[in-house]
Amino acid sequence: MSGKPVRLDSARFGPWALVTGASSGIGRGFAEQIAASKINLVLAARRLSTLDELGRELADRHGIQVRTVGVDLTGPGFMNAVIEATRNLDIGLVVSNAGDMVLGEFLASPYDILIRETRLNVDAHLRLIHHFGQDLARRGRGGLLLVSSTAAMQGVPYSANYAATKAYVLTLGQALHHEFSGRGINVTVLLPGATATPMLSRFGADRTAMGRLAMPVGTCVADALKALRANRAVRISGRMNRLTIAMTPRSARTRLFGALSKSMAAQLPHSQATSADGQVTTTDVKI
Amino acid sequence: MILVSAAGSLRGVPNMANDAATKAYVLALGRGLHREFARHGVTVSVLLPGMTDTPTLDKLGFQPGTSPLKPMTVEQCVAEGLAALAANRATHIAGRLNRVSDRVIPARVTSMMMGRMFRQWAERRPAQEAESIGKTR
Repeated sequence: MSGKPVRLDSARFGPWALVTGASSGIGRGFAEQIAASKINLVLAARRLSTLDELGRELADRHGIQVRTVGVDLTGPGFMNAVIEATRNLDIGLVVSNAGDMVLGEFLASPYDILIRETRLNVDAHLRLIHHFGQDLARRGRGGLLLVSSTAAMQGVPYSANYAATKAYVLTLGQALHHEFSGRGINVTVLLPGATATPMLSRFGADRTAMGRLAMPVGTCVADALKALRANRAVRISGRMNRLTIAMTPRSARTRLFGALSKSMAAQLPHSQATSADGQVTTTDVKI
Repeated sequence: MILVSAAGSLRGVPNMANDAATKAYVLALGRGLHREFARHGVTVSVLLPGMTDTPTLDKLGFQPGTSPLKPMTVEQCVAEGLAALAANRATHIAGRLNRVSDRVIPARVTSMMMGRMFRQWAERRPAQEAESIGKTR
């Protein structure tokens, strides 16, 4: 982790927080920094063994309680598993982070892969927010952090469905920021740009100019937590990303992001569109 | 290919949160595909209607005379959509007033105004209808 973790008020955002997609990348970064604020964690992702390992490490280092739930958020009944894992817990913060990216030409992408991406990037957010939003509203305090992407700010050729799902999350969060503000709930949408995560490496982007510009996870997460604390509706992570987006007209961004997606897709081992996670495994699901 | 989104998708809309978000999905998808499909000779345009005189508008709780905004006719909305497609435009907001207000009014202000309006509308319509609204505009 780079830099100091951002402190959250555990009376407001604790005693428990839920982080989805916590096994790696930005989700893992959230788990690490939230743990440093002495807030107990429920970690959800597909890879239960990785979560358990991270959970033990964070529990030891920060003296917090950690629960883990191995769940595929695209699978049927995933919500039951999450509800079961959070039963009787007073959740004050939900980081709806899990997401995946399908790269490649739209027409060459099998429908199954695109709808799986849509379930994860749209439906899982919707379900989680709908369920935990009720709990947070009853408490009258807490936070909701939705992870979108800078891809949400314009259309992106060669990851058209991905950008569209992220636009959904952005627009939903913007509206809920207003709707929930009267209920004491902070809602912030995080729009990360290129971030040094396993997803970026899987696409081979860590070996390109994009990889060299990629932001460290810790910095991205710190930016997001500060924005949540200040109750900002939308936060693009990193000054460079904010500047680029502000200075570049949308149509130019569509061309730029499209060119990046196309070049990343071309580097994939198989020419067909592939999601970052590759094959779907549902063996971890505990319901 | 014409994809119908909604002017509300350009920003978050409180009290219509999921609806505006789904329309933002359509808008972003269409913007991406506009470029991808161009090399196949296929034009993709996203139409963003504002308030349009359709049965959905009544269902949402719109009452003529109580709103300073006049709904656009379906004919004009459709004509603008077809003209945008013919001109190979990636996106088109129907109605000059909607286009102007998109440019000059800050997103936050529009978002709050629309949110307030939809809350008033929601209070007007019976509860069971509020739950079964499937479409916007």
